[in-house]
Amino acid sequence: WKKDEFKRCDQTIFCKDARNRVDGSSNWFVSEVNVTNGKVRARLIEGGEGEHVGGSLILHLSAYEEGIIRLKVKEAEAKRKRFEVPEVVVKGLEDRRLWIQRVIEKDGASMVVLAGYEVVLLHRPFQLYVRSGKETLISLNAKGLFHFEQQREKKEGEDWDESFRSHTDSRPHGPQSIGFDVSFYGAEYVYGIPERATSLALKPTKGADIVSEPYRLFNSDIFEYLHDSVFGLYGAVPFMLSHSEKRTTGFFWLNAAEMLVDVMPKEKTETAEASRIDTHWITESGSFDVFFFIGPGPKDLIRQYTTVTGTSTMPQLFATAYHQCRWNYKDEADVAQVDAGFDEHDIPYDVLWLDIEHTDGKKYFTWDSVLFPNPKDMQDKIAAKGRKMVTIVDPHIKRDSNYYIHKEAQSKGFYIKDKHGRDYDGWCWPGSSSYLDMLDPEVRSWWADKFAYSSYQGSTPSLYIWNDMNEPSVFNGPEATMPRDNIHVGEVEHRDVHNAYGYYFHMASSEGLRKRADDNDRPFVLSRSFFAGTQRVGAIWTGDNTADWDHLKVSVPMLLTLGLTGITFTGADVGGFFGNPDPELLTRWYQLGAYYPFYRGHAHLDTKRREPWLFGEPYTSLIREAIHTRYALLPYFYTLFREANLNGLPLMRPIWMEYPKEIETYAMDDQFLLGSDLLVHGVYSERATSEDVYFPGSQMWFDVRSGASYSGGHTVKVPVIPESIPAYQRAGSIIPRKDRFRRSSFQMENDPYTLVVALNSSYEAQGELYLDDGKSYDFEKGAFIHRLFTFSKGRLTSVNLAPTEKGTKQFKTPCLVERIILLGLRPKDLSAHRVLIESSGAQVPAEVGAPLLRIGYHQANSLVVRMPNVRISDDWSIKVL
Amino acid sequence: AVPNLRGIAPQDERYFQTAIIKCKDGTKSFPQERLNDDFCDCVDGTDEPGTNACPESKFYCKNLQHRALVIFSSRVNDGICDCCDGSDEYDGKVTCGNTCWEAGEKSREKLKKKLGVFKDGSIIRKQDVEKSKEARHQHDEELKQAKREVKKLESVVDKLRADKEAVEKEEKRAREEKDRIEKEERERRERESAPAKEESLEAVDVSDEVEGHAEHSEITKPAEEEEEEEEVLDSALDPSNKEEDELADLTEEERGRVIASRWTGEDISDIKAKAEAESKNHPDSHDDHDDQDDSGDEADESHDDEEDDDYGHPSYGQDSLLPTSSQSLGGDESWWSKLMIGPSAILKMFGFAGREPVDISEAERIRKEFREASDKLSNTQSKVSDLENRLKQDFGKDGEFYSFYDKCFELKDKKYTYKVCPYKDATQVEGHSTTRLGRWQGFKDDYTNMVFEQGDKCWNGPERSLRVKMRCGTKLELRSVNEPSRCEYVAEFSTPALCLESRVQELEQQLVHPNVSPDNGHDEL
Repeated sequence: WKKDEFKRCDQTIFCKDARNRVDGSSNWFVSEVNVTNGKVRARLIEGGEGEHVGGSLILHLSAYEEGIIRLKVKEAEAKRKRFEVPEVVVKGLEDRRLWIQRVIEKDGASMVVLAGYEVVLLHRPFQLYVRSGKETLISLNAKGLFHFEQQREKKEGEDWDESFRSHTDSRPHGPQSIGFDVSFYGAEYVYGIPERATSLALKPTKGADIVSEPYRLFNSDIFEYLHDSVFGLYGAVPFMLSHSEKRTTGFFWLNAAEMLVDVMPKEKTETAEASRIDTHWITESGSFDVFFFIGPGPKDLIRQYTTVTGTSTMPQLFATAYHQCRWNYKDEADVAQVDAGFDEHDIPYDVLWLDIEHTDGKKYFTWDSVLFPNPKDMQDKIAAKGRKMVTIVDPHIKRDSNYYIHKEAQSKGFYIKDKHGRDYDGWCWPGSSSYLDMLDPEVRSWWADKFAYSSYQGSTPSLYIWNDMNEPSVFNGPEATMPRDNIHVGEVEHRDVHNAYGYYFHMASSEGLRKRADDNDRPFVLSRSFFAGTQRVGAIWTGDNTADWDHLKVSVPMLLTLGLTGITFTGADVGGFFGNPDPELLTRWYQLGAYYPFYRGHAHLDTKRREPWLFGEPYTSLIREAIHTRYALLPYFYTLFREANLNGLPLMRPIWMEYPKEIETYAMDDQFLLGSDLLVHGVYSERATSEDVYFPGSQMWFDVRSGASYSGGHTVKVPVIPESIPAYQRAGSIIPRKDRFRRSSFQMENDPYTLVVALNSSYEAQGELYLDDGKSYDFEKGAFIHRLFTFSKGRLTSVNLAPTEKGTKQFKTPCLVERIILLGLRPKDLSAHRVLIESSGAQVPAEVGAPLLRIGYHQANSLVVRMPNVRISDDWSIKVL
Repeated sequence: AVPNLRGIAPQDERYFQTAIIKCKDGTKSFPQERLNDDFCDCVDGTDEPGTNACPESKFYCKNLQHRALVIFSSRVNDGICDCCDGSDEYDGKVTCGNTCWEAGEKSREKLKKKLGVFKDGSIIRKQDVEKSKEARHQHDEELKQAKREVKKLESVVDKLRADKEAVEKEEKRAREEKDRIEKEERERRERESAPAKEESLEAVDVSDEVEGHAEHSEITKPAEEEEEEEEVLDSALDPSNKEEDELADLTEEERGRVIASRWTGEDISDIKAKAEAESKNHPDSHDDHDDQDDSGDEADESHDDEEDDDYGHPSYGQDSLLPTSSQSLGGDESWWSKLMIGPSAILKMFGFAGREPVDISEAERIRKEFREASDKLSNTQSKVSDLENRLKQDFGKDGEFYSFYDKCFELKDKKYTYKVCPYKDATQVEGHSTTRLGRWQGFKDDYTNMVFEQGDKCWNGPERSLRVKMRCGTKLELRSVNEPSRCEYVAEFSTPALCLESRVQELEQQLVHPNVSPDNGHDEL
């Protein structure tokens, strides 16, 4: 990668200055504390008593349900309103605000007491502490690094220009940086602040003997990124979590300007044996609007964060299946051949993707008339098999006077302006391009209309969208992006909007798909760039990775981090974008990718073809098996997507999210949990024969293939086979599967279920299944099925979890349960020959068998109930006789 | 009870008649009532040939009036009609009509057409094989004859060489004698003409001045040059730095294109060259010697290729000061002596040029004869090696590819012209630029493919390669060229050489007895 094309901290004045600031250099104090409108309001003044310098700041402190504290600080008299990032905080948040009645003044501090915790505002110096009883949870400015550059007039002879390489940023509004420290008490590790390719637990960047750049949040199109680097990639979420045995806390800064975060090494606190992690946050500009989250558990914390920024949108079922992409499927014949290739090899897939070359000269919403003369026919042929297609639509608009999008955008003044007020002209795929001002709701709405079938010629209802290059990537711009002094609607500078630009673009595209189908078809739009709130809009992937083992391995912490920051529908390119994976690496990637929330194979233009059947046996069979694993688990995935939709919880979870007290898992990122019930460990090296797997908890874990069991609380060197990567089902869980093989998820609609019941030590288990039409928004009106399966005292029951009052719509399914697999039974139960279906009185046979159809009977350690044929949507109970 | 034989091939039906049936993989057995009961009992799918319950099972459709077909179990009752008799969709979700007769007709028509092509093609092939046998025989003869001729010519050339050497030896002796006399004459004159020395001293002064100038520039230059050299070294150590310098000199558009090319591999050498030209400064080389563009450009080019060792090399400064004509002169003499008094100048000066002691016409005649005979020999030798090279090639089992040896096949496809020359190479021509797609590697896959490899290297990628898939056709024709992976080309080519007699019989058989073909079997034509 081209390191020198990106700024180091010491190459920007604000970052260099902030990083050189010493502890305690902040000199602000609090005065005029009062309560107005249910919020605490106070004035911040810089300098000691009587030595008042500069203007003052106004502080607002508010609190929301469930342990959320918000702190805003503004200039009392601002020369220019600082940019506040719109569309990130959910609309309903104010409804959940707690009405603060009073503050308690005590010992030079103001204190707000809330349910189970209190916020302490220290007056001199200004510091903020969140405490629970005697325990301090989180603080701001405890180290005295708070610094707020107030906007001011340019001094005589002062030069605000800042140059980097051949670019000069005119910085017309001068310095306006904000920085401060946040401390997490009792923390063992901190996590979050994507996107970068590095470990899950964030390593310290500043301290004795540590030479590192700070973590950077500045959305950039990084060419050939490294697998272990603090540099920021395509997206940013300024949200950090800390975790320890006792508590999980979090901090979120709603600011889309360039941000840098230093993490200091863990320190022992004076008061307790507990440790503390200090962090230093710096932005170039924008506003001070921060949130503190108090936990106590990891799941509480995610709920709190997603209360502010929203939970994941519910994807369509097809989007959760396997996607096949390449830069580029050349023409219609190529598309037909690849589609046929999957059928010939009995490998399912749901979506075929077209990259930039499908367009007429990189003009999005158009087709190359030679290569794709009949796009509708092509899509219809694919759709006849229940499959979909995706085309790419990027935000750079070709400056071609014959291009309708450009003509309209230009005449309506919808482009981002350069510092001279002209339409900004940058260079990207099409050559000379301009960029739509997606900050402007009018532009977003106009853009959304471009996806209408009548507008997007050659599009059909089975076509979905991919947004790339939306950092935005500008090949000839500073740091390969847009100049910071470019101007958006309302005279907002690009520097303030930068990290959210891709999010707004993603949002507008997604809105377009929603509009084109009259709100009756859930959008699917994949984006490379993202910001806090992206989870409400669509999926993201980790961009241009590389076909090597390190990139395979780092995909796990990257996706785990995204999940912790609310973005759940995520994946890395299977196989690696750059370079040619050897068949073993490709196979291992398919096996791991089967557990990514978003599962897509993709490859660079210059790579060799790598459709799953091109490497011969055994690889074709191994990859087929990996993709089948995903398809079999789709009911479980879909249930997890619903959980993410309801509670914000990620599908891919660090072990400590489910086992918060197991210290040894806090930095673990080579294995993860999918939901709470599947433990997955990738294979990250060539010709591996074993992997060290840590089994958390005190219950058993069952190998999903063989049914072999491992007891929790140990690390085991498990043997690794070519057929699969280590994956285990938690004892005490029930996982719904669909084991029949089809061309795509569409044909699986009415296929029967398999329930895999893994019993814990008290011979009990529980699991859920959520399903709906997989497509529309009717589920919001009650058209869904949500079942709870419980195994207890030798009896498996299914009860309804959905609200009993009927919605305006209903969902029905004829699906049956064809097989129940019981793992972990007592030997005497294992010898049962029949089960009783209590609702009908019928008895059906049960046999000893294996947990996976293809494994056969060498691993006969489970009881397989043959064709109970109860309806998945009904209440029923089944007793093992 | 009657077993449910859905999805089972007639020849397999007997296997399922017993009350207890074994899974074909031998793992276990199942009672007959579990045959096609929509629950998978055998891992290999033996018990569910007619349902989609087993992932490994296959469904057999009879497709009467057409060809029987075996499909994956995943296709059974999936709402898509796969069998022309519609037997794969029986759960009532969709209704599939029986289209076997139409499909069968269509396929028979196709087969007939194909058979026709094969028949015609095989006749042509036979003729071609005969022709190439003849041609080969003829070439064999030519080769033998050429070899005999080579032998003859060799002895002629040997004799002429001996004659020529003898004559030349005599010439050399005479020349040495002449030189000796000249030398004596010169020494004598020098002794006699002392006043003339002043003039030559003056000349030396001038030359001293010139030399002094050169020395001066050698003294002053290194400081600059060292600096420059360091820079060059730096950028060599850190390529990104170098690129940064280059990028800085580019226009916005050019910079965009350079960055984009990292992903696309677009050829940006023009921009890079420009960037380098602009980022370099040669204040004196151009200003002082407007008329020396040639040498200047040469230096530039060598700089383009690698890190510049020429910079700072002492000869660089000197060379650029020299007139071009002097550069052709070799030897150890100082540059001004080469310039001022070359040997021919001396001869002319002293009027010795005319005297020749050897009979020039005789010597010339021998030399001419020798030259002619040598030329003829080498022509014949190269004919021999051409023929040998041709005849040692692989021309297929029946020599059916013999006529390909000196043929090229072309296809115009949009902006490119593809040219495939078997036994040589394959190229892609766009305007005036030619890209080599590969050099001949030989036939692959039982003479059905021609393979060309080690073509021009792709940006950031492999060397180009081309695989030419051949199939039976009555004409020799390059039908299509594609690039399914970057820089890996695939062409389709029709030729009678692939119209094998044995295939004709097979196709005839197929027309009479359409048998089972595997799922999604593609027709060849």
